[in-house]
Amino acid sequence: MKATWRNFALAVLLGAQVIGIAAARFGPERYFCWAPYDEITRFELTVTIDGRRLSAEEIQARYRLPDPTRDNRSYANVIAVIAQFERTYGAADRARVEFRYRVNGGAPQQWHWPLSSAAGPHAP
Amino acid sequence: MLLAAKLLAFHALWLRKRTGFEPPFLPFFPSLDHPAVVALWPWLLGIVFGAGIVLLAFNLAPRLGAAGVGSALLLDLLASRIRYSNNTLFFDLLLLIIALSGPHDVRRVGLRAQIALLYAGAAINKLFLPDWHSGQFFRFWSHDVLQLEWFATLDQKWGAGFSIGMSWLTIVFELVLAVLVCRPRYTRLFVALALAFHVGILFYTGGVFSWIFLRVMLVAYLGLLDGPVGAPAVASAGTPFWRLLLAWPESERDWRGWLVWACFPVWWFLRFR
Repeated sequence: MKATWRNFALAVLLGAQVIGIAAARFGPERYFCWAPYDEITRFELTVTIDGRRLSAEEIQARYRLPDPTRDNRSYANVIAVIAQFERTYGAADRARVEFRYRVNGGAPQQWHWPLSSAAGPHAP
Repeated sequence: MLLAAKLLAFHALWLRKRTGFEPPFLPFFPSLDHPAVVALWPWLLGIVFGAGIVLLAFNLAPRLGAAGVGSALLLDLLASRIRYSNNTLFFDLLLLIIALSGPHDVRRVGLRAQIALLYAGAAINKLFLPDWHSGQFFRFWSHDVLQLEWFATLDQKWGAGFSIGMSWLTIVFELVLAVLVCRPRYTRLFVALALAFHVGILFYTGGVFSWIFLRVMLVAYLGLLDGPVGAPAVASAGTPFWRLLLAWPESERDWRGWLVWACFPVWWFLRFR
């Protein structure tokens, strides 16, 4: 590998992180911006498909969240996972999702899927 | 640098000895959800990762090997939002940075820039969060999440002052570390302060937080030590197999070599935490 290509690749890797840190200022998601344990979200998920409410195990199998009650980066990361799942793999289920959460023990907030029914203030 | 790359690669190998690589699930790039990609992904990453391990472990092409292992791990992380973690990202990037460090990069510019970005990013993110200014995050984390009994006592005694003080101390510490790591002449001071910072977090949380991160950071600091950066010289025909595997140069028998290897049992101990 020539030095020029090495330096270019190095610049791309480091530059992408600078962009990630800057981009984090314009949205609530916290990916690729070095924000570990910057805020802690405690949450509860309710998922209903065809009028049936899914159990905690079914919800875990659906979204595979590392921790089904807590996130250590941003509430928006959880919303991003749910929204992407419901837009893609789970679109045919027409699930209704209620995401109730509190950031750093603050006031309770909610986010819903589908977004049209009650769009939250921080829809990704 | 070579030892740091090997420690990271062997650690990754240990973690994946049973699970291997999984297909994409909620990837950052939607194109990874294509059925053909999903079917081939674990095999593709497995081959790149395995080839990288062999090239790195036996010093056949250490830099290319580190690039292979790091790329496979980074692609695995990009293939799933739920597999994303800062520890994993830093781990993967370290391997790539080591792979991309040129043979004449004795000042470890790439590695220093990576570590500086990590600490600066962490500090900047905190600076923009009101809950870090008011101490609310620290109070919630200590009181409700970690449930530290002694924190409740301090909180009653000093009010919000303790939480606010700890919040700003963390931000200032991270900013200072980001600056110090950029100055090679302050490397020892940086490593001492950074270790104090991470060990301090461990003590504060009663050992429940930052074991993994401390382990990865130890390897990163190892890469800052003086020593050869380029590919090792071709070993003589009679070189024992274990020397090749452990990247133990025949000529280097000074105290630094022993110091580096003294870190190994520490790292090994941390691996099981």
